[in-house]
Amino acid sequence: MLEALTTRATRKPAEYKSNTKPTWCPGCGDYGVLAALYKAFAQLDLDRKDIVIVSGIGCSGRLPEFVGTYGLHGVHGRALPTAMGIKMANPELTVIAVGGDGDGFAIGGGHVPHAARRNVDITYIVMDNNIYGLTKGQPSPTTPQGMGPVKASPSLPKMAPHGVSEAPLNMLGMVLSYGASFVGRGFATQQGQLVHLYTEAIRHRGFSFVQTLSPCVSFYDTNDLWKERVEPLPEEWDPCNRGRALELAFTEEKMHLGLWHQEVRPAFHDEIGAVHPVPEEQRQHALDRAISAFA
Amino acid sequence: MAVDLTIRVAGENGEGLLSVGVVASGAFARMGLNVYSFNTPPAEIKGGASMVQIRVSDGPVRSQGDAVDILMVWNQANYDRHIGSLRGGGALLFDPGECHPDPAGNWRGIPVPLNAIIRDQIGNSRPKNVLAFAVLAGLLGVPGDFAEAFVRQKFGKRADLLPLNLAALARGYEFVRENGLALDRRLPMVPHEEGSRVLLTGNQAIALGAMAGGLQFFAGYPITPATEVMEFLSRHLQGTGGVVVQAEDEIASAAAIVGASFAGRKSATATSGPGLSLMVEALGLATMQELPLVVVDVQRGGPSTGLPTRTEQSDLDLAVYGRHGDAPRIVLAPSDVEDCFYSMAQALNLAEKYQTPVILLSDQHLGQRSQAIPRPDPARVPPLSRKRSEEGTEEFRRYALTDDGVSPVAIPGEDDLPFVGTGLEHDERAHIDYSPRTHEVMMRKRHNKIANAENEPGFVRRYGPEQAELGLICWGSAEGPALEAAEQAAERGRKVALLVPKMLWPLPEKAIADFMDSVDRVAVVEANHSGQLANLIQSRLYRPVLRCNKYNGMPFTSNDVASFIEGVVTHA
Repeated sequence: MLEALTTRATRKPAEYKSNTKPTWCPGCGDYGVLAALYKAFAQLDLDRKDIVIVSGIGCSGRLPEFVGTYGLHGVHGRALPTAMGIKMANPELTVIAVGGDGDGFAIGGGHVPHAARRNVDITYIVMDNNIYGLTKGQPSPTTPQGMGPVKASPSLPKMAPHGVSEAPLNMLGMVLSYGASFVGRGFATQQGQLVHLYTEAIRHRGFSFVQTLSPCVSFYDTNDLWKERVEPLPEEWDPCNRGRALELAFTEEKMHLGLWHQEVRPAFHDEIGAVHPVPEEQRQHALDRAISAFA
Repeated sequence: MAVDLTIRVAGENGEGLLSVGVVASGAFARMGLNVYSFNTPPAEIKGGASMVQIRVSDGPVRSQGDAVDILMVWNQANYDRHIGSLRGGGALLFDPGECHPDPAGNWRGIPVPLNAIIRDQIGNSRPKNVLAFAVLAGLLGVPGDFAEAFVRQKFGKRADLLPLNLAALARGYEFVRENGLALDRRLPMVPHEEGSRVLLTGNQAIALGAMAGGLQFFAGYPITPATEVMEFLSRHLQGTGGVVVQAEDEIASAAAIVGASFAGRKSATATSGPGLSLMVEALGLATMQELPLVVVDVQRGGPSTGLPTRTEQSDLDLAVYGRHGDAPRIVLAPSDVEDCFYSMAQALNLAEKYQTPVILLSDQHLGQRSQAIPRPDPARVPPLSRKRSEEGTEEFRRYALTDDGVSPVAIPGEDDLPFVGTGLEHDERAHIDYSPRTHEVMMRKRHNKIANAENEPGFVRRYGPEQAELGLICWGSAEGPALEAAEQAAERGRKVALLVPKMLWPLPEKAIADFMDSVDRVAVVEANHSGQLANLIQSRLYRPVLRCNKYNGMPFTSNDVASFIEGVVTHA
């Protein structure tokens, strides 16, 4: 399927760049996310005017500014309900929510289960760096417990001078149990797989979630650590087995990359409908009938 | 005016008390009479004392009525609670098996053994509401065949319950006839064109007004007393091409309508004070991104959880000033049920025209009362759409500086003019820009365009003489009782005028100043403790005002305002 799309594509990744140069630190994992998104859009041959990228606050929240599509850079933690509003307003649009581990799983954590259970037809890319980068190094919901003032994170002592005491969230375990219909994990430095994951996530009809390991080079540099820990999902992996995926999420020692889970079920707008402009005469007739019920 | 009756029925909500009000109001409205009914539901679903009050007249009715002419009580506790409201010489209908009125009371006591009739003659307590209605209707001379046709239509959809309801109706009329009962005042049938009048709650009128204004996307979260808006739209909005989402909370509701508005759709939510508190951040984003959307706030008693089923006009400060940063928005306040319809459609239109959030302030008393009104006419408020951009060769300027501050928009999927809307300060091209000059220019743009809305026509109502010894200013649901009180004062030879601004931000300062110049003294009538409109007027016009406040959770009566007027004019 991917080959077929590739040969049909006429657009080039560079066509999706905006005139704004990224403001991220040199070496930030988010550059990898951005590059993979350009490539995925090109492979899918999407028109710039038909894409909306929604973000919240954080380093990752700046991503829409660097893409030449429509974008909505909103408030902290609310990218998912905002993206839902866009998709239900016009299901023809390709809607992508992006954000960090803090935006999505601290302040915005209450929205993830609902986007997943409704199966809103959007793609949610979480750039997980295990730290608050924009505010310079406070622990996030995915910062490993016990992480202390180490060389990789010279600024962490500001908030956690004696080490991080809280246990981290299991992002994939949560999203799998919320009922997400597409769950994947990629690594910003492994472009080929990441482009493939993004392409399939966008093509998936329903809520697609891609945890993207995206190291912060300034406040918690996990590049070396993660390079050692990542490995592909087993070759015989069955992405239709949510129970097996959940088990792996809570037992893995390594960080497995790939498509963890995918299932087919109706998207939210298939279930409840979306905005569907009707002829003015029909609109007035429906309104008239609604008023008449009270006569 | 031949008849103006205030009827109160008090009992236990678990026994279908509130539906007595629904049935009686519907029947009286169908007779062509003016009806104004409200109730005080308990906070619990089942059980708990509650009451419905119906004011019915062949003349105009603008408030719920003062002294009760006919009181029906279902048990002793409700007799004890409400007997003080009965007018001297009024009619007390009581269930003799449940209640023992004071034999020396100054009223006409009529025993109506509702429970005995239910037990011995119907055998099912379900139609107690219809039985109570039938007794009232029989006493007031409502023709039996009319009542039967109404009940058949009202309960027609529940064919299984229809025989029970018809039996209860027949027994009620028989009881009145067999005992030779009648009240001295009878309700007339008023000829009117069929379908020319409707009986609506304020919440229903807002939902219909939203449809008239072209609403396409609604996201909301259940909250008393606003939930009916969402429930109504979830049944009807699909027919006009829209969709309703019940979100996980008010924050998500507000974020979702921000998104839908960005996608070019007319979007709204409805909530009450606690929900509006949670939406404040998203409203600031909508101001910054210049996105049209409407938030309905059906106010209830606060602060905090406060009085969920009682009324108050205490969210004006939040609506006008609830924000971080200088984030102006338009605030409207409909003043009666009919106005709810038109104001909601206008709110959507103003949001589109000025590309701004609009807050529509209703309240529990306005939202949950029923009123018979002329059939709303959608042709009076045709939908407006935001100004669209024409594609040009130069880079799209989403926030182009224009004379009126309103910039043409581009819509995803429709216009090949992609841009990124952001909550950060930005230049004309929507590019992030923190420079001092840009912040100044854009701040002025956002403020000037809202300030222009003060010139929108039709958002101020003035009543009474051109020169007056006392001028009342009120907003929202205080209008009806204030107007009745002003009219009563006029009958006593007092010159009292009334001004009702329906746009509270931007405040119609010129109209208010002109009004203040035309009267000797000014008082602001509002159902809150701190005098939120009074404070707003004083801070904007630097002129002191008197205050008439009520803050016990109950709506103003015309007597409340009349006593205030009397106190002011006699001590002038």
